[in-house]
Amino acid sequence: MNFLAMLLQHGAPASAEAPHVVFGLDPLWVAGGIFVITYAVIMAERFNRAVVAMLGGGAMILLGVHTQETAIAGIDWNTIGLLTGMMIIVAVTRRSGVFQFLAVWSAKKVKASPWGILVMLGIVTALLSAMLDNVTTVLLIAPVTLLITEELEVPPYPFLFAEIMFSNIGGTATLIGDPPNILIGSLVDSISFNDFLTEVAPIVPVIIVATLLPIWLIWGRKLKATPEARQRVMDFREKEAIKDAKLLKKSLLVLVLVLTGFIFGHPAGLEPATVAMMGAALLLLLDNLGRTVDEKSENVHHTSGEVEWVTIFFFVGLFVIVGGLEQAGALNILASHVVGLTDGINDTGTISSVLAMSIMWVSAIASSVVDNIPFVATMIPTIHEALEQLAAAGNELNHAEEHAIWWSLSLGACLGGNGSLIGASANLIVAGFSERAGHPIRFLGFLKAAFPMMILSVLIASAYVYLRFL
Amino acid sequence: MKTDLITVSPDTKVGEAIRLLFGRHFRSVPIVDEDMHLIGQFSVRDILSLAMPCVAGMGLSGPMSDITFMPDDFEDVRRRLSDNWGDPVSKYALDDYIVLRPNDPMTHVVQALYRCRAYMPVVDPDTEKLVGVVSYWDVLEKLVDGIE
Repeated sequence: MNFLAMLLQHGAPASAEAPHVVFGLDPLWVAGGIFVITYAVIMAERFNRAVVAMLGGGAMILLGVHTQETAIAGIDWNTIGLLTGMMIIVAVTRRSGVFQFLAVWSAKKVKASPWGILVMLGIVTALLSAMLDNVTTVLLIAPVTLLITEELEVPPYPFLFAEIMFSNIGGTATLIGDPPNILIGSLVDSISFNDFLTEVAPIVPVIIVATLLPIWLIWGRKLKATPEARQRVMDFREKEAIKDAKLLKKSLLVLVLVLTGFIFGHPAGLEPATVAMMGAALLLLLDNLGRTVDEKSENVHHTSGEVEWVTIFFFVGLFVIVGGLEQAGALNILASHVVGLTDGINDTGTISSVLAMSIMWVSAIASSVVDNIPFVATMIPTIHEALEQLAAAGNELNHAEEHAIWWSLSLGACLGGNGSLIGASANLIVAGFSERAGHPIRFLGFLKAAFPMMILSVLIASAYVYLRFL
Repeated sequence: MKTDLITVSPDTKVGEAIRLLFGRHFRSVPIVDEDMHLIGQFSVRDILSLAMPCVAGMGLSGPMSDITFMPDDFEDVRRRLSDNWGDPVSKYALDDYIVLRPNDPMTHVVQALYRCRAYMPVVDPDTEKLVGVVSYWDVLEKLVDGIE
């Protein structure tokens, strides 16, 4: 029992397993209260979300819902390790200049035609987002886009709009593409890296094409550049963008090893965090070969500083808060409400269809206005609990039906990020760049075009999940 | 501190401001409204940033800190600069400069000059009006003068 709880506890001592909450209050109310307040403050975006999540996590311990041991046990270190490892790999790799090379190379491949560049940069964004996290991808691609559109003398907005869309769509394709997928891949035992590749990724190209169509109708067909402007882009020397060819080779080697590890590691019991952290350590080792001890230390120090610690601490705080809810039994109640949606239905096919579609659409709408990470972090244990309650009632879902539910959560949460400018961190990063370059992206203007396109993508995803798994 | 101030108004054209900086060998000139409230500064760094693609100026460690893959020649760079020649100076003015107050302690002034390496505006805290500018020459000349 924690110290404060021990001092303040009234009434009969609780059982050994149950939380010992201050003043003998109902742990359900205390945990629920902390959860609601924390999430409300995160949504208000007045304070840094990591700080709020850590305070919320701390409150769970201080008020006795958690002990420090149960709080730490609730943190999913596989998610944390995977995120940190990939962030280190990207931090080192980007110094080679390969991402700028890729952007300029792809622009020249389409003879610098504006629509061609929009499509190419969109596809590069989607591919990179599938392998790296979305924020990193747009941090790398958006500045080159601003440079190219300035040289082409065309408005940057359609290009940046497409990149926002494709970063969220591309991220949906793999386990490592988007934080909701990292969470699902890590917290759901029956789902592996390859399951994402074979069961989610196939619909992503369809959604990309379906999103390109309205972009072409609204902006693409009007994009024109003079031959002189196009020549300026064709004169770019993409090879000059490669700053360190040796580092590029080392980075590519490690990226290939890491991807191989993700694909083949799961059957051998190798978790993604181990693969990513080993990859990060190997790349740091290779990058520092031939440097003096002082330089090595400086280099590793610098690279560690580039890890987005705010995101990592945000995850840690969230895990503790959601763990507290679980500890207090709140998720059981939430899960029975989810199961309640299927009251009176006795065939698992219909149950899973109702659940999958409700989860997909609620996730999509919720994720277009709030951060999808806390949403998914709460939904995963809730769905786990709901599946158990269904099984206990004799309605155990089969493998495909269960997957349909997880894919609905993934597709809804990831694609929902496109619903508004605040739907995903990557959107805000692009908006920030654009504003600094003198082309502010307006919330309502973005919403008018993006929300219908998000709905279209979720419709396609719903049809796909229904036809393939249900 | 110099109090015979040379300033420009927010509507001054970029070209005129550049001619003024060059004609007087200034590194920067304060931009003030008609009541002498400081609005910003226009400096030689702004001229350089106008000659680059806009993302290239986003911080030294920024994403476009290295644009060697752009083969622009002298004429291309001049074209970019001349494209902005007729714009009002306020569009490009820096707003992240340090302001000094008339009663600031000397150590603070020296440290501020060390950091910004240019002319610094001095603003009256009561009226928020520009009352002078300080350059490191002003300060250093005074300091060195008294040393035997």
